[in-house]
Amino acid sequence: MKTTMALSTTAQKRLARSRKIKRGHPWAWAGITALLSVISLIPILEMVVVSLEPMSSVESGSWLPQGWDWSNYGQAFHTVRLFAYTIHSLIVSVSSVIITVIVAVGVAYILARFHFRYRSVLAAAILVTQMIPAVALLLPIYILYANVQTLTGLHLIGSFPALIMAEVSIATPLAVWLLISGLAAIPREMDEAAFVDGATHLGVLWRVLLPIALPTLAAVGIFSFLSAWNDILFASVLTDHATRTLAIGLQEYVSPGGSGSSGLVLWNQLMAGALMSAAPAVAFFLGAQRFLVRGLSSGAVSK
Amino acid sequence: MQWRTTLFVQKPHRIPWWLFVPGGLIMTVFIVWPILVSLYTSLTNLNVFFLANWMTAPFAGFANYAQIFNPVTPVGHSFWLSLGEALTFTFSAIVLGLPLGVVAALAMNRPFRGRAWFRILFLIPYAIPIFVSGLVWRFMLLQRIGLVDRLLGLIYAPWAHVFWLIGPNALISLIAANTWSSWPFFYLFTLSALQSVPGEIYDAADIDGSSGNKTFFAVTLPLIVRSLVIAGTLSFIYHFNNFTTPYVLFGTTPSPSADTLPLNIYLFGFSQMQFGAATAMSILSMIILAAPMAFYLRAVRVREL
Amino acid sequence: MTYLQYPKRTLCVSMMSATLLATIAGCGSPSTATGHQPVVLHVLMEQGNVPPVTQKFLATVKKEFEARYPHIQVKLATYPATSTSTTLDTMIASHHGPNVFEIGTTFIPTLTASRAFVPWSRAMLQTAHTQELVPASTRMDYVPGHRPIGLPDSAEPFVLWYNKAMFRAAHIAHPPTTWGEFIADAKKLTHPSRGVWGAAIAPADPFYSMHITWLLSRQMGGAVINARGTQAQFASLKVATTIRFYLDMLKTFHVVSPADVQYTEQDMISAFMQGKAAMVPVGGLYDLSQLNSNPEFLKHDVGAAPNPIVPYGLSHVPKGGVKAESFISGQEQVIFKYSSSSAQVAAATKWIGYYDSPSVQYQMWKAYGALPVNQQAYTKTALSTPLWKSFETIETHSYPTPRVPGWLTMPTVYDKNLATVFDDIALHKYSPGQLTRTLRSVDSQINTSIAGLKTP
Repeated sequence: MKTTMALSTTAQKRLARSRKIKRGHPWAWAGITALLSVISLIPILEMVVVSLEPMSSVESGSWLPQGWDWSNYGQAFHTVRLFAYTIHSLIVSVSSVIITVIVAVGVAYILARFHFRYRSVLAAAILVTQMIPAVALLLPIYILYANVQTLTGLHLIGSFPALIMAEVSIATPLAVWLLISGLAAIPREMDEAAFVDGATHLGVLWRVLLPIALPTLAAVGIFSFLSAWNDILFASVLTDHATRTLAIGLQEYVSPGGSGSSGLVLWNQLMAGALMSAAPAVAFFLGAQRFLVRGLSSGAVSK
Repeated sequence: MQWRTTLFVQKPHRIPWWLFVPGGLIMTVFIVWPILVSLYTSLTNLNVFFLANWMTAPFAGFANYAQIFNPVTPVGHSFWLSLGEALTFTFSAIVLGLPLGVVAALAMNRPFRGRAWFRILFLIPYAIPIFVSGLVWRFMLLQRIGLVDRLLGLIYAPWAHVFWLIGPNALISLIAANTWSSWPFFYLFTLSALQSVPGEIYDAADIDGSSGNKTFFAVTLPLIVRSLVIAGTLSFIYHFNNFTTPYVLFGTTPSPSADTLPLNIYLFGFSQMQFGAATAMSILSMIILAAPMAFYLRAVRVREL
Repeated sequence: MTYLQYPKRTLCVSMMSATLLATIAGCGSPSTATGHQPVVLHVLMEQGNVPPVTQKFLATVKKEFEARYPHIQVKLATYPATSTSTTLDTMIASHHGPNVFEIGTTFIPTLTASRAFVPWSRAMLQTAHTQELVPASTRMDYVPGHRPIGLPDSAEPFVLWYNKAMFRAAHIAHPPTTWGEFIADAKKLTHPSRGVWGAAIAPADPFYSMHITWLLSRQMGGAVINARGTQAQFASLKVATTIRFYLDMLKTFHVVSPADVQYTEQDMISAFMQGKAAMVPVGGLYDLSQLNSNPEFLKHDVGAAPNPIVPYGLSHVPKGGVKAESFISGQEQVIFKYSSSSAQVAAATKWIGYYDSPSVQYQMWKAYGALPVNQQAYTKTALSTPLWKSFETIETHSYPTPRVPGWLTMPTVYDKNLATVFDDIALHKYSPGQLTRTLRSVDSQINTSIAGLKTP
């Protein structure tokens, strides 16, 4: 605004006019906003409506719900163990975020701050590893776990730690890359100064770099949370009754029952369950989005 | 003691490798090792007879790769078809999602009352887990009882009462459902890029009498284009390997027009137990992705890396 | 300063390695079965969307079993049907899995070929009282050249569901016994203007087309695959003729709704339940659980008949054809070789035998509605109703699908390809010769994948 103050009156008039032009199509913008809002909301509203309908009304394909059925929400908890699955998903996703951030910061710090031979090769290799379809990793990882389990007698398959480590490994390469650019964006003088003051590497990371790179950290956290929360491949074989996650559990609604029970797809309960299982992820994401917007701009993308 | 003193002065140059170890170890054990295993099995005839002792599967040389490269063989035919579908799916996510995201971000970058609410609203499709949005779209796309069909029927569209989840329409459904849940990714990137554009630049543009459209193409776009390239590349990598969306939308056996590469690899490997061919497909898929990766590396251009 | 750094660094290293170790170590302890300790038996059952009553059934069986065999401790787990392939493959490849594994009959030949499951000795078969089982139900287990690797725990024959009320209204006395009658009846029952159709089919289902094609071609005397399991024969005259008949239900006779092309088995049954379709050929017994949601309808209007056995246009089953009313289908329990000690194999045999005992089979029928495989279970009065008697009869007139390792790839390839033909018919894009081309391509696709299946 300082520039504006210094402007001549004619310039100010011109500015006012151009501002007007810039805001000249408020209706167009409002229209776009409204349209995008409707597009974003329709599937969610449909979920809400179906989750409150009786099955007969869903099947009839009518526009207006023929009656309301609030019991779907309660029933959804009985048909599949929604509550337990939510807890399992939270355990897996939160742990994998914490571990991913810790290990990725370590790797990114080395790659962003030190010179050594083959550094760029190593960095590129980390990115390449992300290109393999996760389907291809599934069998070898499972075999690895099974062998370690046989050799050591530790309970791995079906345990939380085994799934968490798989999720961490999937999320780490991207996390490293986001953090490399995040850390590289911070002027080197800042850690040099800290080192002169006698700080250790951890001290520099903890007191200097990470606070500045906090938004990038948040971005990394959100991406790894979503990746773990959405995983359906590893969770399908690395979980059992005691650890099954929501992504797998919700499939039970649409999967035939086995042992002689094909079961109708109870869309109303499924939608109730879907809404409830989306809630934690949506809450987490919206709570953290403020950081994400800053994170992507301050470190991850711009220099 | 002398060397300690020296070290103290040059400390930042001694590389604390122990910070690298946990991450490096995880990536070696859980990614590099499985890739090596896949490389090996892609050179063998690993099927149901050998699965129990997969190390003993007969070595087949490049037979699996030769099959894939020959589009006349069923494996090759299926691979190239799936690759085409995966590329269509991947590019559609960018071609449709990016303009939506940019427009939304521009709309949200203008002050108006209630802006905070809309900013959050636009993020909801992205925040909804894929395994949920996939199921919702599966329901909405059902013929007769699904919302899409009812809406199209309401306006007497020629495509009313079409089966969206089967045949060639399945790919359209996949693209629609995926665009809905992934466009906010571009919105997010654009929004954050726009916020780092200094306001003075716009003022300068105003003084020059630049109009809205012109300002965007002459001033804003060049400033955010790098972010968009990065977002596009990340989106490319993510969608090319996206297994969950088609899996949840269609169930395990989708229409042949919508089994994108990861799903096809899954079907060949896990359903038909032809792991030799399936892992060869995975390796090729990894190589194909190397091109956008090189692009990404150039775009990110991490300092001195 | 550097040595001041050490404790911190050590602390951090140990923290990180602790995190790693903790994550790798996990919790729990190895399960061994030696000496006087109880034998721990891991049982993995398939289970999806089932009501709580059904969920209790397994817990009850476990409790009763443990009471009877105090030295065996059963650890029950379930997996959803959507995870079948990943569960099975990872299990075989890693040698890590449960002792007892429940899986659909259709997987048995493939599982046998993998040699990852314990072949049953005569003594084991006796322990499990195999002689009490419905003979037809165990036929899938006898893969040529191999000992059986498991026993069925439930049977789910495929029947012709028909709507009695609609049959009465159309003055049709009996359900059809030939496919000619089937079409004639279906035409009488079809009223497109009211959205009512003579029959419903499920071409979009991953198995339905394979099932009906197998049944029709067996009746015709054709075979979708040769006896040695090396050549797919979908394009052969007899099989292609039956497939053409299957397509004609939609294309020529117009007795099924064009909407059926997007149907899976569940959609097909819900069309039947809503009175939109009068008959469902080759409908699974497990569809009853859906029908159960409308008890009045089930009680009064639902009829289950054997599928017609005489091919369309013929008056009797031709030479070489078999009077197959259904194919053998259901769930099997197999013993996983690699993770089972001899004590666990013995315990597993007892478990499977106990599960197949008359009382458990009866309880299972009450919980799931699946057909018992134990003959004695049918003496219970509740199972003596005409409806259930007819299922029992159909089960005894069932034939096994080809017991070749390549069978597993056949539905995947065939159903996928035939679905596109159905789509084209529904979209009026079908061209003459398209079916022949598709079937030839199906054959070559299947043959290539079978050729890859070289035995070691």
